[in-house]
Amino acid sequence: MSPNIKAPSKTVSFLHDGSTEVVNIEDKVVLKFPNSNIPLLTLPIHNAFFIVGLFLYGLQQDPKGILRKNLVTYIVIQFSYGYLITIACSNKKKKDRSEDNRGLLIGASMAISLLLSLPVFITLILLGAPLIEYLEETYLLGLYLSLSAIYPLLIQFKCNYETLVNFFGNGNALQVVSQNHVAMSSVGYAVGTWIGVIPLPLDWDRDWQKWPITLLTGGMAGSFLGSLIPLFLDCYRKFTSKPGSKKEL
Amino acid sequence: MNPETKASGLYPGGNQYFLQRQQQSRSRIKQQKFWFTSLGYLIVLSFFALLQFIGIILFTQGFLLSRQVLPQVSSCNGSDICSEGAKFDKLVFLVIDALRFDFTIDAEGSDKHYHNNFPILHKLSQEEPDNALLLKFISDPPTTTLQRLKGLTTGALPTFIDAGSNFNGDAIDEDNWILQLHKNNKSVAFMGDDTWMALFEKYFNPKLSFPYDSLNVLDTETVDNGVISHLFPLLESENSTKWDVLIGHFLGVDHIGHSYNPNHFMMKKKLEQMNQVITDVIKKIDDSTLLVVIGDHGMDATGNHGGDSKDEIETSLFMYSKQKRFKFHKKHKSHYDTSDLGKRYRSVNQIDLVPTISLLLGLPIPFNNLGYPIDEAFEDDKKLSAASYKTIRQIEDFRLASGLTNDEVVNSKYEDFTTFYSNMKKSKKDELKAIELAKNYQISSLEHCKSMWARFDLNLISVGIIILSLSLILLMTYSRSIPSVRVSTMSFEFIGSIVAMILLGLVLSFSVFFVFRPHISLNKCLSVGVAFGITIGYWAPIMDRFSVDWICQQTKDFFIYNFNFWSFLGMSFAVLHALVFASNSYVVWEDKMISFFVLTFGFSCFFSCITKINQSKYKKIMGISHSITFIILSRLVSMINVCREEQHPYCKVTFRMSWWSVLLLYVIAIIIPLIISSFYKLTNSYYSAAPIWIGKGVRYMLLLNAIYWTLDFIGNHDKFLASSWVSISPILKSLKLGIARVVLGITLVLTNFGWSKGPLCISIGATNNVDNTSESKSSVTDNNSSSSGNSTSSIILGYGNIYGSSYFLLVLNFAVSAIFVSKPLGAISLSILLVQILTLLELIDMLDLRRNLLSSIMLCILGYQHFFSTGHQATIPSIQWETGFMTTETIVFPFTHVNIILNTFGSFIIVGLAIPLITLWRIKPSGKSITILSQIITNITTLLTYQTLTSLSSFIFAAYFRRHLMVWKIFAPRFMLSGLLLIVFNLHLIICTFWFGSGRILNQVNRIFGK
Repeated sequence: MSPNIKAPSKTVSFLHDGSTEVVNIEDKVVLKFPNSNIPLLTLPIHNAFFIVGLFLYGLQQDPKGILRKNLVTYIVIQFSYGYLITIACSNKKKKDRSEDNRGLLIGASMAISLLLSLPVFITLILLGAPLIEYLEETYLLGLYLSLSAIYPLLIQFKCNYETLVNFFGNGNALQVVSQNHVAMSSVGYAVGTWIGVIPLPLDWDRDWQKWPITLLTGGMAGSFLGSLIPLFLDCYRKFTSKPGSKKEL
Repeated sequence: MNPETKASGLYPGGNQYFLQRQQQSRSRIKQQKFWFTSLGYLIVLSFFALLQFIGIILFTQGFLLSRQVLPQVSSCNGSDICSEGAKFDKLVFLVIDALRFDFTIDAEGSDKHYHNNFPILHKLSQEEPDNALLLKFISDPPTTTLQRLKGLTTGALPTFIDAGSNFNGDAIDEDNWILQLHKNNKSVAFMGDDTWMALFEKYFNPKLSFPYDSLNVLDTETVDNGVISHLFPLLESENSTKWDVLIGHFLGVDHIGHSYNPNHFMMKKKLEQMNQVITDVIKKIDDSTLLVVIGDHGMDATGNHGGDSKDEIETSLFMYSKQKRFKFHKKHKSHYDTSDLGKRYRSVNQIDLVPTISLLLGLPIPFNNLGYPIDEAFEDDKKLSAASYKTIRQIEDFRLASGLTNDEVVNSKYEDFTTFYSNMKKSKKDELKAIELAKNYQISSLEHCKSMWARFDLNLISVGIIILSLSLILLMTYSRSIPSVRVSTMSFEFIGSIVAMILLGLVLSFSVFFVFRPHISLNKCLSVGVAFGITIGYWAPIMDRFSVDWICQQTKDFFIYNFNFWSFLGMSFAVLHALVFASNSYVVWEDKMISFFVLTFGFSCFFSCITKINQSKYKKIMGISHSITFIILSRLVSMINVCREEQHPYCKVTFRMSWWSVLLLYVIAIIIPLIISSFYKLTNSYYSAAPIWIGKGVRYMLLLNAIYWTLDFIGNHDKFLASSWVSISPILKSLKLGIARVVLGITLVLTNFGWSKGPLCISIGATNNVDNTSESKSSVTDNNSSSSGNSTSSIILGYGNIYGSSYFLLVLNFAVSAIFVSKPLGAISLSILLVQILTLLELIDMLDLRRNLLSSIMLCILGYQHFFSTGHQATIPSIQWETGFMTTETIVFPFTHVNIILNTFGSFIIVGLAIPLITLWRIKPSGKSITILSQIITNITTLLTYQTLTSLSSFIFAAYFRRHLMVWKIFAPRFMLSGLLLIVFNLHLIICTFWFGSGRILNQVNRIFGK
């Protein structure tokens, strides 16, 4: 039977499905995200110094031992860094009660980020880290990753999952994230670790090609460089808006 | 709203006939328009493919220079390259495959299984120095049997291309001494390795040829026993009149090397057996017979060969005769020093045997020969100088015929020799001088030929690269810069101008060829003309309609549109993948890089699903679970690998036949249909055709696949081979053949035919709830009862994924056949690929990546991932030739070739076929089938762009690194893979994906729903 004959007897109407009722949220509601205004204080310069220090200590000879030994040092550093972030964040706002919980926030963030090192470790394995050998190295890398990429975010967002998701998931994420240097340093850390994989296959047989040195270095350097991006963007914006009237930032 | 519904509102009831007619003609026009548009696309895509083929071919001809094969055959008439008479009437020519030189000499103090077990050759050369001669025999790489046989019979040099055609073994079409024997009415008996039959079948005495299969390396006995059983009866005096030349080829030594290793106790036994055979043969042969025993190549420490290491190229040459009048003209003893495993032992080239045999048997030297007679085989300096003269004349003839006479050094050496030889006095001193001059000439001519044939033609290489770059730019603009709506209307403009420009290009290049006489052949010149014609023909309508500014604006728009994370990801994958070829380390580790790309994408999806706001909880959970599935599957797949040589010691081979991998085949036969059907149920389209295809077809085919590989596993198992059950192995073999033919016949022919009839995965169901908001359902209300919406009405189930569900069945057809020709772990990898594709499609739908260039790129990368996980690498030895013999026992065109193509490019064929699903998955029937088609074209050309970019990059770097140490090991094979992939993708995407797949599905759905 030809469908052409069948056609006139029926009309087919298509109901609108549920997905069409996409809510066009008016972008009038400006999402409020924490944004520190004293970036220089909270630039993660310590990451850059830390990795240089590790290299001086002999990271290339014994990555596992050195990373293990310096973990406590790094945790202490991150405690103080977290404190700096809380200062930077609360400075701008009126003094609210969050200041009282500062210690609690830092402690909780540290605990959560230490816990999150396990999922990060699994992520690293899933992304292709060696499955049988080098497990401890991978786990240490996961710890450092979690401490230096997740921990500052937790502090800045006061461990609020919803805000964090909205921060990265909103329609304007690219702009919002690129203005926040703490977030950019975390993104930079992730990207840097990703890029840190690249020198691994080279057949140069260098010490620094040992797992996971390149990834850690990439991450540490990435976090520092990433945090500089908002600064540059800021300068660029100021520079381009100079001729006209000063725009609000 | 549709005009039809409006019309029916205007003319209720009465004008039904009129309406029907109107609608019919409307849909006919629509169908015609659709057909016309797809034809336009088809032709344009074919032109693009042609452009790329031209680029690939020109580059390949410049890069892999193949030797010129001259058809001339030497003859004795009117030339002085024949010897006056034969020294020997008969020849027994025994080849012992992979007989390394140190196997045959005294290795003092060595207790290796391969040493000191084959002493007869060396012993005789010591004890009967006048009758026996043992020399080190140097073969030219590649050290594979086919190449060696060609070299041993023609005296010519092999080229890289030949190595690839080892499998094909085309009949030899150059002059060779077997042909000369045949021409001189000699009877040639043959027994052993069937590679000879492929080359020389027509020259052998059909009654006296006994070939044996050479591919089954596990069998170390059949060939040798066969040779022995036919050899000795023929050596008996009553049979000796039946043959003039007897060729035997033993494979046992080679097979033991491949299957075990050289230092295996079997090797000792085998060499002792060979020793016995040669001893017996020597006893049997008469005075007028020359015995030649050679190895065609050596073997390395693992027992394999093919390369150019010392162990692989060094083999033995042994000559023996009982003739009283004949004596070997031995050199001083120091030339035959066997200490240090014969390091300083005198060596000759394999090609040197060719003039030697020809002259000793009184045959003309083969026309293409480049070798020089072996000194010892000619009794004295006088005979040797005469032999030299003949050889030199032949070489010079060859040089003249092949146009190689442009090297002044070689020419002057020839002059030196001829002038000296013509004025030569009959003194020993002069003869020695003549021999020396002749050798000088031969060596430099050989060097010259080597340099000629190993030289890259940079002009062709750069033309090839330019043409491919042009095609890349062209594809980029076609796929992403120009809006697809415009492209669809421009097809015929393109075709017109391209045809015109091709004609112009042909005329121009023709005239250029005749006026300027460039140093390339007419074909190449014309194809360059065609290539530029296509390019200009493509740009002409664009420039005519738009302007440079517009193009710039479009490019800018492209980047603005793609200023998002996903596009960045896609572009960085493309750029990084292209940069892989800049370093040998990355080419070596490409499999890991690809897995890393896939997993990066998986995690990006995971992250994006988590942070996606404004989405229902169900969708979010589905998204997260899909991305987790995708990640875990990709990680699992990345653990299946074969290692290339260069990856050691950081890589462990997991791609092996084992009982658990065979067991897993049964598991996937059960699980895969279930998983696929659950994906169909997600879109509510597991109806009508789908249960038949997936629930029955795929399941039973996968079950047969599992049975096939079980039989294969049993049939090759050591315990089975050792047990008394081994007698049923012919039954197993025929059973396997039967299964293979059934499965491949069904999946490649029957189901595709069935699919072309247009199965749809929909069903009519009844529902009370018309306001159903479920996206995969729609209501069909009768015209008569359309007044109210809440009455019982029928709904079409599976409406929301009507294209995708039906199209995926086609993907399954090809996927199952590719699974079948893959080895067990490869089959598992490809089944995972199917699930990965489905999750990817769901993710694409969820994350709204349909229009993003990343989706096609991801499919392509998935193809690469599974190329590596199905046991392949970008090396020639990793090609799984044995799968070619699944449906036929011998090489039969096209079945063997289809199998190997399916096995090698199976993953790419699957992903190439899945490309339209990016557009088609989870969309409802649309009246605008041309729009859908144009989106499919966009995705197809995006995939092609990606592949062209990576191929072009690998071409450029292969050419750039042409002097690199690793060029033939790493860069050249990778370039060959890239070139082949580009060809496969072009053909497959145009013919299967676009013409067969997309065209039919759109037409089919359109016919039923597209009003």
